[in-house]
Amino acid sequence: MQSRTLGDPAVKATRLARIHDPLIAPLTAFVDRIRRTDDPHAPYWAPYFDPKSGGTEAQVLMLLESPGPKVSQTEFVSADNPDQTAENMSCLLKLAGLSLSKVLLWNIFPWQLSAKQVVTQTTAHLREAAPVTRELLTLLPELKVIVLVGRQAEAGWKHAGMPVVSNIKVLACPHPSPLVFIPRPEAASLALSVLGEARQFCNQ
Amino acid sequence: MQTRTLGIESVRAERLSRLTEPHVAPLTAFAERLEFQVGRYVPQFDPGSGGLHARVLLLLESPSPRIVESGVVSLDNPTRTAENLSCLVHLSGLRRRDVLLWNAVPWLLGERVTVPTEADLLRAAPYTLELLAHLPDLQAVVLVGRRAERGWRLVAPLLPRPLPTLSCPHPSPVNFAPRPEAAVTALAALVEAGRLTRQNKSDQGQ
Repeated sequence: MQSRTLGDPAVKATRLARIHDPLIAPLTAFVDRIRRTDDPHAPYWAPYFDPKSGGTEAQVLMLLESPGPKVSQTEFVSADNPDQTAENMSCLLKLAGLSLSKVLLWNIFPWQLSAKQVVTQTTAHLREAAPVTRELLTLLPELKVIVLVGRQAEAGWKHAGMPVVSNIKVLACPHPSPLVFIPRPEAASLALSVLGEARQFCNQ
Repeated sequence: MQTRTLGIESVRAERLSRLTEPHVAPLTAFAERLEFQVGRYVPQFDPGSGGLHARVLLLLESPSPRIVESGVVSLDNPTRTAENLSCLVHLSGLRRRDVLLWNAVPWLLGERVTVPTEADLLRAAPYTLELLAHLPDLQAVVLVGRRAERGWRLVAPLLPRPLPTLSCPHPSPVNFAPRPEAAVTALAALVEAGRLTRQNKSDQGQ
């Protein structure tokens, strides 16, 4: 296992060449629809889904908060992003036995707010994002579990009045940011137990 | 972070070239003497670890036959066990320089055998005690796997000072894959070990 690989321009180029692969193309089209500008540094730019994930066949949707600063460089929401949150996420997925082919990473507020510095989204932001998240769910027919990663994601889910989908389990886990895991490493144990639970709802 | 790096020849050569660095040299000499005395292959301590300055000893069961590929007991070995253990250490917040890896039975048991018997553990106990005497900063021992726990029962009564121990399920894929809760228990044990090292550090600071 190697983390942070999307920091390498060659890896990023190879990944970008795959955004129209069959399992990811409908999600790429979805991102193109929700992007309201072509300028990666203007508001309402959103990154792509990771072609190295489960794509439309994902059984576990991990909903984080909003794209972090590194996403502006890599253009993907990915466990391979060159930051500590993604690295921790890679370790958690590995130990939980959740292969990337079952998982899709996304953010409850999908647009980039934090290109220059980390910005916490407001309730208004979360309400704005809710219809987009609901649309995403219609693109994921194999979905078994949604994991809300971090308190902002949990709050967003509540504020947004998401539909209760009877056959989809909704779980919550601590955010794997170093700001959470370093002062409270027991949060990592809790996150791992939630991912282990998520795995049990998947088809093997 | 990158796991399995000791599978890369240049990384392995660089690591082996560091066996005489001050933080591991006495441990290197200890492993070489042990190999001579026991008459079995004994892999080396990892110069990429805390060595003599380790605050946490991760005591596994016995070397895997694949240990001869790298020759070092390390989180960076090209095995899934080492990869899982790397992820656990990373998430627990323990730093590489806080940790030392070793085995309750430090020699290679055989080409296929990996499960130490009671006799193996009994023979190894004095060597574990000798190792502990080299580690003045040690705050906790994590017993990784049931055989390591059994071995410790033979060591604990002979310790000059009591050492906190934590039990940790073995991170082999055979153990982790069917039971995700084993990984959670393992991580909780390492988190607790980290807490003990920080607690004692702040005690010393007062």
